[in-house]
Amino acid sequence: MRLPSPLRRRGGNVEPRYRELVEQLPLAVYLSALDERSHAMYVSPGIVDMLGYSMERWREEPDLFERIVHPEDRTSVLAQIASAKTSGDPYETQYRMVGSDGSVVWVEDKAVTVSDRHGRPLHWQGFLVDVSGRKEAELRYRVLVEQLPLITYIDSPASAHETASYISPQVGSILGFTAEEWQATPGFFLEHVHPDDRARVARSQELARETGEPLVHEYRFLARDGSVVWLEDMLTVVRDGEGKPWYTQGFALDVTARKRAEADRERLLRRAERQNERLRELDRMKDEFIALVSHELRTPLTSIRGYLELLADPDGAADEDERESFLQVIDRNAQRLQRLVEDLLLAAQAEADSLQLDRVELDLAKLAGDCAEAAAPAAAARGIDLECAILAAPTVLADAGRIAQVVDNLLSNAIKFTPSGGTVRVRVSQGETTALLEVSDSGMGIPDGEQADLFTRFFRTQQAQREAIAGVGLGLSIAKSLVEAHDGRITFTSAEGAGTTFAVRLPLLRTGELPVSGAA
Amino acid sequence: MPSWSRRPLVLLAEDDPDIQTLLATLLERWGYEVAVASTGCDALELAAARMPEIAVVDVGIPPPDGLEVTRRLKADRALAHVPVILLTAHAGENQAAEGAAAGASGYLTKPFRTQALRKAIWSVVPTLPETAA
Repeated sequence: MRLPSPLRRRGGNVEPRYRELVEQLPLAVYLSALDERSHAMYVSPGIVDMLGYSMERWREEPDLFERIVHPEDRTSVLAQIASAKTSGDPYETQYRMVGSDGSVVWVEDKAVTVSDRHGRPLHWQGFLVDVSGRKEAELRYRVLVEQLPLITYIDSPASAHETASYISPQVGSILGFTAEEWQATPGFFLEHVHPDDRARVARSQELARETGEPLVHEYRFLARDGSVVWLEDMLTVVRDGEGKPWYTQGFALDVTARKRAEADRERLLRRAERQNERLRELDRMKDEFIALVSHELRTPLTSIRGYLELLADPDGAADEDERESFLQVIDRNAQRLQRLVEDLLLAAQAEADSLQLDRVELDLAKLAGDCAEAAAPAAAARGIDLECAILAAPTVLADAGRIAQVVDNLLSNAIKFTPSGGTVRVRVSQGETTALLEVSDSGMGIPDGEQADLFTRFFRTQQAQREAIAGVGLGLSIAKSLVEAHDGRITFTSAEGAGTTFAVRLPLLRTGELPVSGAA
Repeated sequence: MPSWSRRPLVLLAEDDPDIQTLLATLLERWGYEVAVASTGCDALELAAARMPEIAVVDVGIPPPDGLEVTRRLKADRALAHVPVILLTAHAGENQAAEGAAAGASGYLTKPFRTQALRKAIWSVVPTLPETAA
């Protein structure tokens, strides 16, 4: 733009009243011709206060304007003016000028082409306002905004898919992108939101734009180096004077560290909860165990005390046979108590990995036969057929008492869980390196859902609990500990309704000859 | 004191064979007639068939358990009058309260002195002095 120098000659064309008004305004009004290098027709005295150059200089130096536009803005300003004059469109811009004292003055320049009543263009008319104060304030805010440890942005009110109109340079330090590349690509923002969060972010932004409600949300953002940055984003929709959404602005904080801390805390909480759950479960098992042990201790004690009282009762006319049978009951129940105490001790030793074994060369077939013989009365009492099949006579290096305990436990379980009329079979055989002892029954079988827990201490099957079958849930866990202490393995196969077979495999010391009588 | 034309009948429900024999022997010595059951199911059948004067029931018998047997007896108009003495090897106040709630007249925790059981039964269903051995 070229400012016209005021012409006294043409000054008479300006209506005096308007002229007086114009010259009191805190701005500079100007008129110039429409040709590119026109003479200035008029400039109001407001220009003197604004830039410091006297009216004389404006009158005498037609190129003063061009010279005092800030060198960095000059080319673009002159081009804009030329273009507006050619097109006839209104023109509005801001740029810097240099005052007579060398100070930089920010001006806002607005101009239009004025036409006569036939629509013929007459001249170029505009005004300059000193906006330095506003510009300085803007600059101060901008410096402030761009020093904050967060990303500020200004967006279109319409959609997050449009290009950001402003994004502060912290995108560099926080996300690794430059503000320029961000602003150059429409949809840059949404494209870099973590795919799992993208739809949610787009939806909430859309909603905020629709309702005008402020939005605070957190999402993951993919930084340039591919890392995931958690952003906490607060977006506000700014409305114009008529209440219509004008633009959206907001800021986003890097909350990755907080998110990680939260995730860690969550994880710790969950772990603590799992541990608590486990402790509660252990506590429950302990209570159950104490109740069971109490029951299993009290039952034989009841017999022992009761029969002792019977024996001592002076009114009880017990004959010698009766007295003998009472003593047998007392002895049986005392043994039952002793077995329980031993089982508890063994379980504790197994738990502490301190099982003591007195290993000797052991004839497994003979031991199995002895155990079967010992179990015969219990089987007979329940109407169960007890068979013993000795197919080999393997020798193992084992603690006879402990292995007998394993077989006793398996036999006692088999007899307890097999209905009257059923069969329990003990079988001894051998492979190339292992001795195999099996105890099978024709009982109810173990439901699939309970098989995994079978060797767990204190575990009792639903059937055992339902039918009040005696026991504390130690037998199988002890058997497993004992077999494993002998470097052996205990397994089972079971089918509901078809019975269960437990198999104990022990390392073979040597192969023995098959005894002459094959079955006990 | 009521008099009995026959020895009073005690229904004994206990699954441990040794304790079952023990209690049956004692009850007979004390002048009672005894009907023995090993499960809750048998106990209820016997009760209906024999109309006992009193029932001595172990809580831990195979199903239905002693508490449930007590409840069912109390719910049966013909048997509701039969006093029930519960025996249990499970110590704990809960069970005693549960027993009372089920309608039991007495509650003994194993092991007990035989005289304690005798008193508990006698206070409910006395035997005639001459029949008491």
